[in-house]
Amino acid sequence: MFDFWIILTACIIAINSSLLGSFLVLRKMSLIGDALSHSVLPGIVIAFLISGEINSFWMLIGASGFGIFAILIIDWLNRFGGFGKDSSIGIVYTLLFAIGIILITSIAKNSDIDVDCVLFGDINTVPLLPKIFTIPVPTFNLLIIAVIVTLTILFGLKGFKISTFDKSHAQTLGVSITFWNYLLLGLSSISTVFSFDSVGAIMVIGLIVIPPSFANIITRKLSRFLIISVSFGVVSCIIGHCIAIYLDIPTVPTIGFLMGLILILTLVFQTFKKNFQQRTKAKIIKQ
Amino acid sequence: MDFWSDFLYFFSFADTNINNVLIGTSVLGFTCGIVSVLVVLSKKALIVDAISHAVLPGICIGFMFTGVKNPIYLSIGGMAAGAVAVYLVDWISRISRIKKDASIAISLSVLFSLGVILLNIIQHSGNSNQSGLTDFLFGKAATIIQSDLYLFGAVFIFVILTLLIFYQHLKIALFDAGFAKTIGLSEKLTQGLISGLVIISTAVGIQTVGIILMSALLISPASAALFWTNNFKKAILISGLFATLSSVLGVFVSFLSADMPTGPWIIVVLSCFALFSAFLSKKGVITKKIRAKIDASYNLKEKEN
Amino acid sequence: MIKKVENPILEVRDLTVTYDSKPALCDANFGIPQGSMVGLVGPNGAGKSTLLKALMELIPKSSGNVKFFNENLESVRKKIAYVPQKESVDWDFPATVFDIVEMGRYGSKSLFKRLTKNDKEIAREALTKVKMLDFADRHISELSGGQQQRVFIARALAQKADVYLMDEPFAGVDVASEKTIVNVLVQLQNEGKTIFVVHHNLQSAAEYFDWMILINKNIVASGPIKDVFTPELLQKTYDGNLTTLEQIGQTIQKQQFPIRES
Repeated sequence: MFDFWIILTACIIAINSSLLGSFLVLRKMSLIGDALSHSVLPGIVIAFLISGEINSFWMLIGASGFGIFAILIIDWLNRFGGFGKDSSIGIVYTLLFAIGIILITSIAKNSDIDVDCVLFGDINTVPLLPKIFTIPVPTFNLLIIAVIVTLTILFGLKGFKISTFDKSHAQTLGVSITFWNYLLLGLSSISTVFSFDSVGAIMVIGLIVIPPSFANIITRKLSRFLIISVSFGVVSCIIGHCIAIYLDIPTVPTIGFLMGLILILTLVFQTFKKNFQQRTKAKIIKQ
Repeated sequence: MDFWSDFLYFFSFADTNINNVLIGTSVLGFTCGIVSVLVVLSKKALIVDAISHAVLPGICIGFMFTGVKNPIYLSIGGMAAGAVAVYLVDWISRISRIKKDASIAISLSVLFSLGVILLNIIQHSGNSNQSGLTDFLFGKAATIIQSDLYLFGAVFIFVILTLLIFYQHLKIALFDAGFAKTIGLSEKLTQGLISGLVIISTAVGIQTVGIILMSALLISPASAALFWTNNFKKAILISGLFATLSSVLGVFVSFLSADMPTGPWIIVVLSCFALFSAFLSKKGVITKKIRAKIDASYNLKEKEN
Repeated sequence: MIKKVENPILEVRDLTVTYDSKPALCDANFGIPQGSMVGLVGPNGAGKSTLLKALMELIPKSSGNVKFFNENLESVRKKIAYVPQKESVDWDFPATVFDIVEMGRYGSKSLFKRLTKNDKEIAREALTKVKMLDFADRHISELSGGQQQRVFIARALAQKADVYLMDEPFAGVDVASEKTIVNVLVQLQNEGKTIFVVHHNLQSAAEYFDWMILINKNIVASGPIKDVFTPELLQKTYDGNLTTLEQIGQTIQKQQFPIRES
């Protein structure tokens, strides 16, 4: 049961992240995902300081406001502050993350939050936490978020699709770009905050970016893109945890490394195949 | 008063330990401030993030090979891993339809994951030297000792020399890429130089602010400096000064209270400089608004007359 | 020279657009008669695309107002289709040709409804018109520039609009595609639709359009092609640009305008 809860938690996080990540990647906003995953830290620490517990549902919803707050500042600095897009992302998320770290080491120093698990979370403690309906609290919360995310993506597929592919066309049809943009960012922020405690900041980016990128090099149809993205994330989590147990190394970075390794090997394989095909073609032409 | 006695003690430079930390962070700050101008002008801001995260596995491998925490070996490992990151980002976006932003994020999380796995293996290996490797994550300015200073000094001199030798080349390539192409300056050399300098300054810079916040030290100083001047030379100087000043203030804050971490405070101060510059410099938002208002009222008066 | 139009289908008054407090378009005033094929012509950076985007409210306007069918855009959105420059989107997006054309059937209210059989039929019809039906299941990145443009036109056709605004539909397009697109436009005009095209090639401009607007930050002229396509007005639009002026001279000599009186 112990490993089951760990794998289940990781898989739910993978589902949320890869669904939302698909659209972030297609919108070339991967680095906004990066920024989100770091910027929510002060929100989480403040929520913890107020409520005194890490997994309070409504506090975490509030904390995700920090993600949106960061996006708004990045946008504002980029548009009116005279910073380049990359620079404004780089400045804002490092500042918020630094503030988060300062809060942890100074004010919240006697708490369960510690600096090291900020990066890769503490998924191994999930099964030991208090339970709701026999499900550990963070897993339960994540399940609720997963239902919301999946339903929103299913019903809003057209909106996400059209506002991602061609903003100006969508706008001329009367579709609100701002609405779909902030719906995506808001959900991403919430999903990041709820995943943070289990898998940490760096892994959230990995789960947001790597599965969609894998889908991107495999398929060219949006529906398949989403399915492949999610399955890749889920399968990687299951295999990753097994490898981690077998080699006695931490689960979360193992999943991250495994996903990247599969992606890179696939790319290498594709390149070889392309070169080989070209060579055989050239041979045939010669003959 | 307590604060003033602390203040005086700190800035009397009587304590050699504090002096080492101050000199170390200042030199590193200045180095990164210089490189930062190249980063921001070449719009490489976010590749820096991939490079700094990639340094972790490099450091671990450097340690695993040598078994000691010699900063030179660790830095060499870090630099090699940084180069791998640059190559990986470029390779992924070149051979597939994965866009540059995604390939940055992919390289970052893969290499950092590898780093954490290696770190974990080292921690369980029983090597008693290993304690303190995790400090690279958030910086360990307080532990800078005199022998570290030689490495920092060497890197500083190397960066300055490279900059002096290629000064004209970089200046033209960064301010007018089109012109640089027409007079035959190698694009590859420009990119290589900048990436190289970023990798070198990152590999040592993480000692003060740590891996996660390193990118700020290579983005914010120049972002702030470029609000005050368009002159390349001045931008480099101002950027270096901003970074140095933030480092000193960061060290000072953490000296005041044992709970206050140095690296994050350096970044907070630095970001404040950047935001402050964005609002209040000659080219700043608020300044522009005020000037527009003054102009408008002036025009109005002229019309009345 | 700006010709007044009775009952214009599109009317623009005192339209000014600024980027970073620099004017990109000043005080535009003109009207367009129903059923005309309008060419919007001017040098690079003259504000052609800016004007089109401002008409569709894609960028904020500093002042002035725009009326379609004597009403605001919001209430007549469904009757207007816009074709952006094809460079403005990422053609690596995971979608087939048919997926893109289908998007023409989306509307702000119908985003949550399923597309009906009728919608799919309309999309297929649109693809047939631009001769791209054989490519329906192809991925959009496998198309040539001209084919991509045709897909965009098909998406606009699927919208079943009355007014079509197109931004540089002939830029980077092969000869076959250009012919197909022109045929589609003529067909639309014959059905009584109004077409408004940003165009950069003076040589073909006189051939394609029956109404022309000359623009260089200001509206230099607007009217039937035979009144507007004159050396004086063109010189005024392309002021000082020698190569373009030569080009104009050649064009006018060659074509002995007006060649297209309807």
